[in-house]
Amino acid sequence: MKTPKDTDLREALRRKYSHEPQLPADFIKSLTPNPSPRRGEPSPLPLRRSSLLWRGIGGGCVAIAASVLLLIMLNIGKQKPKQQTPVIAEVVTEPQPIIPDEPVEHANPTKPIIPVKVAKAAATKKQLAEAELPDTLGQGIFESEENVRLAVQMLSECEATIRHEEQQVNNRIIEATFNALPQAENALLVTNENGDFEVIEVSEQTAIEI
Amino acid sequence: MKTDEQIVEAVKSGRREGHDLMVGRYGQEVFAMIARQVPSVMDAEELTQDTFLKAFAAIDRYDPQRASLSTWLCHIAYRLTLDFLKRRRAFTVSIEDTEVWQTDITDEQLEAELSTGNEERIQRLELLIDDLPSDERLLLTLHYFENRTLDECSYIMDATPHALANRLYRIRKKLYKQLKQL
Repeated sequence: MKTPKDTDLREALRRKYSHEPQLPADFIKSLTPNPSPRRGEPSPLPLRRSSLLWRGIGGGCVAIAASVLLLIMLNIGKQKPKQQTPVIAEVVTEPQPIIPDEPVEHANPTKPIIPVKVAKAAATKKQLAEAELPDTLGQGIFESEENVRLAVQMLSECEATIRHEEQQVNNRIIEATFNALPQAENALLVTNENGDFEVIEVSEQTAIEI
Repeated sequence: MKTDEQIVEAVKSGRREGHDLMVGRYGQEVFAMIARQVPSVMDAEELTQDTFLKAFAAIDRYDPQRASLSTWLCHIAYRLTLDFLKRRRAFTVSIEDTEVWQTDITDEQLEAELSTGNEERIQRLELLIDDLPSDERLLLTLHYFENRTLDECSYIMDATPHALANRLYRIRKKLYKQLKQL
């Protein structure tokens, strides 16, 4: 059978495939030898393949593990303030009267005293530490009603600060999610009466007006 | 310099030297053929590994009367590449184009049209080859680029020489027609 010359076609193919990738010099090493078979066992292939597939699978596993870890960390970061806030609020709003170790003179002895554990719990908050509390507060002994009132006020302020920060973090997350994800045309990011961001869907007419 | 028969014997006896010689002599050829069909170099490398492992395992079935060692290895590589591309749904097969058959041109005229030496035509042909289905591109590269005979191509591609000759004629006609449309 006669082979046509077709020089244009040959030249086009030559140009197209003139820069072909080269087989790596250590290619033969990638066909690593198998261990010798035990007596009585059938002889396996003399070589086996060091699969690139396993490299891909390994990389995929690392990526999945990293993603899971990241999700867990984000979730913990999000939940922490919510877990701590109610505890403080509960303790502050319902202080339990206790008898102090040493008798202390009070302007009104019938008034309950904030327990030591309340002060300790509050002291764990950074805000309390930064607020330059009186020395006596840290020791859990309140010498006067004024100190008690001051402590309660500071705890309330701490609580408010924490709530505010938590609200800001939540709002940032909502805003970022709203901006990152595709939203319906009539979806709006608004602030409610509590200052929280929320996504609402309005009627098309309202959306156009806005 | 060892002959192909000596390499085959070395592989059959399980000597590492035989494997090294076979890969050293035909590794690049097999890899290049696969790399022309598979876009990823890593995949091509892996398919080349598979080709040689399969060849080592099936060396007892190799018949030097039917095909050369190179052609036999390319046949294994072709089958593996075909399976790979089918799994990836990346293998395209040519569809009968009646218009191409109706193109009235003799083989001599066709040869003259594809042998002009015109630079613009050559560049245009480079682009047209990219658009060809996988099986047609492979046939062109085996026959025109690797200078394999139609008998060798038919062994590699599991088709009769007559069928491949017809297919080749059709591809050339198609290219000619597309060149004329410019």
